[in-house]
Amino acid sequence: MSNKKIFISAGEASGDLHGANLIKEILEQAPVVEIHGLGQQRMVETGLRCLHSMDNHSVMWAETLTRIPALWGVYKDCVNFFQSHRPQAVVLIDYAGFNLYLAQAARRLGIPVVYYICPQLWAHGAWRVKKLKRLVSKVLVIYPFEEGFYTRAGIPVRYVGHPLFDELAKRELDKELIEKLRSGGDSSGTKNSALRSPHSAFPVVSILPGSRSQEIKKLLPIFLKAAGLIKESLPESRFLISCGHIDHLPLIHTMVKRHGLAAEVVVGSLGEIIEAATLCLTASGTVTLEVAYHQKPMIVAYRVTPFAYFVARPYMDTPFLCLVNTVAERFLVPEKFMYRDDYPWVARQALELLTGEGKRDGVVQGLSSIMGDIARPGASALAAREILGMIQR
Amino acid sequence: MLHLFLAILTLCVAAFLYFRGKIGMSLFFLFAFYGLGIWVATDIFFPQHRVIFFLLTGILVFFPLSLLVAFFMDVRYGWFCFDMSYSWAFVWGFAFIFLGINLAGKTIAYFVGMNIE
Repeated sequence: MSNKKIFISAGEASGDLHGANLIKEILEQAPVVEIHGLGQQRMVETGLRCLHSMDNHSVMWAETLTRIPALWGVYKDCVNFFQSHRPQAVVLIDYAGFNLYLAQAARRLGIPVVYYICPQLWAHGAWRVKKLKRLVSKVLVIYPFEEGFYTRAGIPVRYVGHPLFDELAKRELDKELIEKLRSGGDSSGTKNSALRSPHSAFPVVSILPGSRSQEIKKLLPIFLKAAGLIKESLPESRFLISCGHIDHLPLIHTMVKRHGLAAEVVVGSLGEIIEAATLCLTASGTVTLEVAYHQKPMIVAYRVTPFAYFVARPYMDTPFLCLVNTVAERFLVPEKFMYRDDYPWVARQALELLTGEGKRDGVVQGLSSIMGDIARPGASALAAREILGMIQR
Repeated sequence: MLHLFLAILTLCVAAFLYFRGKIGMSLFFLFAFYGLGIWVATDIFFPQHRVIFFLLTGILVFFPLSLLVAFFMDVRYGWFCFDMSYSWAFVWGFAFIFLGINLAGKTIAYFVGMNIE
């Protein structure tokens, strides 16, 4: 295995985390392999020989256009690297807009390409699977239903599991903080112990408005207005708001103040905020899997402009917005793709789950069942084994 | 005035059909809208503001149409790495801007009393 080189490309913060876990596993299984590529701090810390840091390239929508000249430079350097060093495999992690170009360049040079955490083509733009078929040697998928999708498209595929569960299995929750969050800081008295129970009549509602400021601006007002309605019906209910990044704290504080809701904003500690909750109001995305992992009922919303809703709707290939429902293949948790601030719907669904014990238990049982199927750690190790298996041939 | 009215109608029908997922029928009405829209723009701008006419049709008609062609090529042959379904955002955004400019042009022309017809 000496002098073997693997090139890994990850563009975003989540890709950096999963890339770092993958590198760690590859180096554990084959310590002499050289890992080169594109990533951020965590990947570098675990042993990536970084060709370019992708810190400033994690952008969305129109911002992408402003980064084209810089990304073009990164692309050219990668192609030069492929030509001069000839890595045994190129591993791409998510970030399809850029990574598919790298796949094209590697394929032209006859370098095998492995796609780990594929773009969600089963949800939108299924026709692009033709492109993927031409460019990649194998895909390592993270959801069980993806295996069938790529097999039908004729692409060699292996289901390795979701690397999020590697992280969650490692994580130890701060029980004291959870108690504090449930009781609103009053963890001394015993008379409130019943209220602190997640199934008490005095619920804790955790609001998870997303990790990007654009998402927060669109979703948080809806959740705050819904929280106001919940508070009217259940005056004892308490609200926690998750702030994923300290930079978003002023924005969240301003919004909370504007809506006049008594809510505790917590920076980080996502696992504890979810665990403390009776119910979560959440943005769609990987966070829904984390909520499901903690077996908490949730309501999922995604807000777009009416124009974006109009343009995107005909090309959505799945009836489900939320990953949990996609995995369950049914509307296990309430979800809504909104083009207007439909907060009464959120409040109505929340009250049904908070006051209807049977409904809540049904959701919890459903979550427990799907987590039993997919929440297994070991995705990064399995992915590493697949990649090393390819370069040994 | 009839062709402007028909342009509004065809665009509304095209948008409705698109939203209902009937893309083929929507394209038929969209092309009808572009034809009528260019006709209206020719009446308003071509005689005296030829540059504006060419800019309008170039940016608001032929640019989104070329993106749409690229999108369908991508669906058929998988040519592009970028998700070309974003082309539809340009198509619909620019179509309504084109209609808006035609409406505004026709209204101004009516009040200023230009001899268009």
